[in-house]
Amino acid sequence: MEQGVKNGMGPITAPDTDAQLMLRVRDGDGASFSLLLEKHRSSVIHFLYRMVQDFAVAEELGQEVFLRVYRSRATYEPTAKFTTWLFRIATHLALNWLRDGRHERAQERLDAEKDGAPVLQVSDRKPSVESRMVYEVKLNEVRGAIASLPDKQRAAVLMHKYDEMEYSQIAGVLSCSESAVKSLLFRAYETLRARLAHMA
Amino acid sequence: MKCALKESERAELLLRNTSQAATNHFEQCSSCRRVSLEQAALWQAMDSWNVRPVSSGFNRSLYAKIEAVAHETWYERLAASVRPLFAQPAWALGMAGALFAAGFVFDHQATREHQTTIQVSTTEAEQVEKTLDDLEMLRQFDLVSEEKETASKTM
Repeated sequence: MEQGVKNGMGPITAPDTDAQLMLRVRDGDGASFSLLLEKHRSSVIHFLYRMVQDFAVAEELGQEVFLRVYRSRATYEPTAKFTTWLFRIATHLALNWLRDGRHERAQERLDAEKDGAPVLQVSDRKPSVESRMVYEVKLNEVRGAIASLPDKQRAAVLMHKYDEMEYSQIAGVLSCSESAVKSLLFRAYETLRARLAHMA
Repeated sequence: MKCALKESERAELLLRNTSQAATNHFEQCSSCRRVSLEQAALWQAMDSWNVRPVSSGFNRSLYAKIEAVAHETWYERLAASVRPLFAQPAWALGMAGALFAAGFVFDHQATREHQTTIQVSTTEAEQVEKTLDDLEMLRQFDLVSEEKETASKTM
């Protein structure tokens, strides 16, 4: 199938926007789907990971996101920006996952889970044990503070900070007004500043 | 010093703290300047949260799922489109409520039919009992008349 999708029917001629690529997917061009996947896979999965804070779950949800995109290809209409649609699907899945499993997951999991932890990037020297520990503590505090935000605030902050989305786009993803997004972000950052004030 | 700006205006300046308007405001407002510095420190702390790369098998697994979708039958597709509805508690509760209501209505109807049957049976029993009483009374009349006949013959 990978071959089938990669060597789809349509020719690859430097399409300029994601929406155009998606329209080609609608017309049966598997190669365009592969391009969209390569382009957005990391940002979607990283967003999902920061939302659910479990890398295996983030990848599972990420597959569901792209599967839904593929399933919806026949009815796709470029009414909004492609990434707005993509992140709306991702946010919907993440919020559902959080809502459904909230009571089953223990909070200490945040501390225990290391599978999605990043690789510490320190120039070309190996980090000392001490600096590694300091980094881990700092990171856990950031993750914990973000995890403690209400779901919508968390989604808004992640899209704003890590995906550098405009207010209008975040509003499109969360189906609310731009002023509501500004308010969500203001409150969320206020909470984070208070929680992480000692790190400044 | 407390800032005189509205919350939405402050949010706008703090979230776009590199704009000229923000810089101008922060020069005059010490409160917002302090918050802006805290916000910059927060963003710097958040920058430390890197995420590892996506697994190498991600695409392979996804294409396998897409392959499975391509070979789905119409009823599997229908089931897949309906399944998310049942995953939502509101829908599940709604369906459970509807089933309960339907069950109650059917059960109620059955009870009513059952009650009618019992009523009919009771009436029949009363009629039978009354008939038996009548027969018994007639039999006693016969006995009395037979005794009278016997007595008149012996006299």
